[in-house]
Amino acid sequence: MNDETLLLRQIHPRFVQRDRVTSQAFTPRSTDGNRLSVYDGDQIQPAAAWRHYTARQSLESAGVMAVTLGECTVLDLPVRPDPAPFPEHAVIDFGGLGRGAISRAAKRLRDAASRRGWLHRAPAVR
Amino acid sequence: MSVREFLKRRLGGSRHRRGNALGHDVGALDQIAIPGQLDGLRGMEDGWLDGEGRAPAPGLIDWLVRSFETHYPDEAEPPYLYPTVEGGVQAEWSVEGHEISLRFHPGDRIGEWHDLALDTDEEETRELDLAEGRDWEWLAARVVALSQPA
Repeated sequence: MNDETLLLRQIHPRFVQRDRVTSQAFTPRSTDGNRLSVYDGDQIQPAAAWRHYTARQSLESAGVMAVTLGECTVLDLPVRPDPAPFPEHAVIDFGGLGRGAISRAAKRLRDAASRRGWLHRAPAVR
Repeated sequence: MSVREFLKRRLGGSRHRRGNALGHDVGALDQIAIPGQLDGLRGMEDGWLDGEGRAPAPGLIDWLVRSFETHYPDEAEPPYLYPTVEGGVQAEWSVEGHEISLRFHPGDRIGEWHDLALDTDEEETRELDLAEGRDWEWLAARVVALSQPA
């Protein structure tokens, strides 16, 4: 991984409203130890990551957005490979940040990802 | 003068007329109508977020529909509305370089306001007592003020 590495984030359908994604999609859950799960974009493409997430893990995703490792570094958010669940898994570590700092970082990640746009969308349901 | 009258005078008309003046499609503006977004949060079930996540409380949705209708003027930028994992609702605005969120919890009528200016990193946090109209007036006026080009 390097500063340009795309960190692929699955976006839950409920976190999309009229094509706008909420900052909650980039907010870690305390139950996950304040770590945000992503796919390492150097190891897997967005469409393949979406298929893995929805088919292999049977989880819901409206599509894939991404931030770069460099964008996380600017926010003092370490990024680490975490291959225990599956080889392409990585985490953005919000560590011991308080609620305000987490909200601030999540909004900046949301903004960066939104500027980049969707890298993969789930097929429309007919 | 009510906040609704104040904003109408300041902005010179209704939201739809403003949209037409800017060449926006009225239908697109209607798509983000607040009641429709809130109705879309009804019927959710616990566990909606990968097995976690409480469904938004029906009483909260009803109260938000009534409150936005009563206190939030058409002239102010409508928020995007999302469920929260705790069973609440989060309103968000992206306006003029500001990322704004207002978090409603399921058990009270308090709103957590957080505004981040992306260019300057300045923040504003505030706890709003939205059981009363006074803080709704502050909310609407603040959204309108932040929506104006610098």
